[in-house]
Amino acid sequence: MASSDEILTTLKILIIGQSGVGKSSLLLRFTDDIFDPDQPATIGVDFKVKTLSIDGNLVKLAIWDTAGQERFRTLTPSYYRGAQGAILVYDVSSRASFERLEPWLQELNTYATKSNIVKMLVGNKIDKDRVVTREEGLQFARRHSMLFIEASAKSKEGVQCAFEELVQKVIQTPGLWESDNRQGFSLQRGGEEAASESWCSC
Amino acid sequence: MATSSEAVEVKDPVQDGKNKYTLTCTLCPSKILIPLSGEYVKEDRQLPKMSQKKNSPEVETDTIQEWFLVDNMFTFENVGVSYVVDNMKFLTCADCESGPIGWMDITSQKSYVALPRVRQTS
Repeated sequence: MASSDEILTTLKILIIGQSGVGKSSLLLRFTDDIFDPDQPATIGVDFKVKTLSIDGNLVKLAIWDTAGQERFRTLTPSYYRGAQGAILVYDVSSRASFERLEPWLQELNTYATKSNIVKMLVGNKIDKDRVVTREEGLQFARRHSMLFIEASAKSKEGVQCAFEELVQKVIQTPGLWESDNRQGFSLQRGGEEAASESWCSC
Repeated sequence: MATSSEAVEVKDPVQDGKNKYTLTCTLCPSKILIPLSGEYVKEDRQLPKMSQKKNSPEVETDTIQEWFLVDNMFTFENVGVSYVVDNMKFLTCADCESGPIGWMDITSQKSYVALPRVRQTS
């Protein structure tokens, strides 16, 4: 198994969106809930460190969720600082959450310190009654040059895919990230092929 | 429900002052630390139990004596960090979010993984 000194890079990824769209449940949970939901001792998770294998490279992600801070509406600029990727989440069963995307995106564009930050739109809760069509989500994503997938954190559908897709795009973006190792390493660059892969098929 | 006392017994969890084995979650396969990445420290400290009684007015704690100290968050393979509670943050499994498996000093940013709250795998 690979060890930490083979880590290609460390990336800061943000999860952004209105309350209740299921951002926290998208915070890279790959395993099933074991806990009794009645358990009182639930404290929210501020951020996670996750190690992902992308195209044979290990990448460490620091994933930050806006939950909690969004109560104060304006997130501190430090939340956005240095982020290489951002996941904007809406709930396909809530029109309001879709309409709130625009101001979130503006805030992201205002405070993101990396101009070529990779953005992904996630339409969440596809297991629920949908009021926002897939086409609407796709069009919004295209208009703002974002990757797009629909997901259900409940079934884990699309969740891991979303992160892998985003990280792949970050790694394919020159100048957006730095190698953790000082030595060189080879990256499989797909060129045109990679660009056409930017729509998740799962 | 796993508690600290049910963690896998390992004769010698320490090598060169660090964790000899890979540390994983006790409830799921999530990998927390790779071998030799946490510094072994002995210090008595209370940590809330992973399972609390319903409607209990007080938070029940265990006394933890052995910890693995991690200076940099990115040393972790996978970990979750809670919001600040009583001037500290708690560490959780990044996948099943069970915990606390340790705590983080918000001033020094050092993290302490509770030895009895993780599984040691070779």
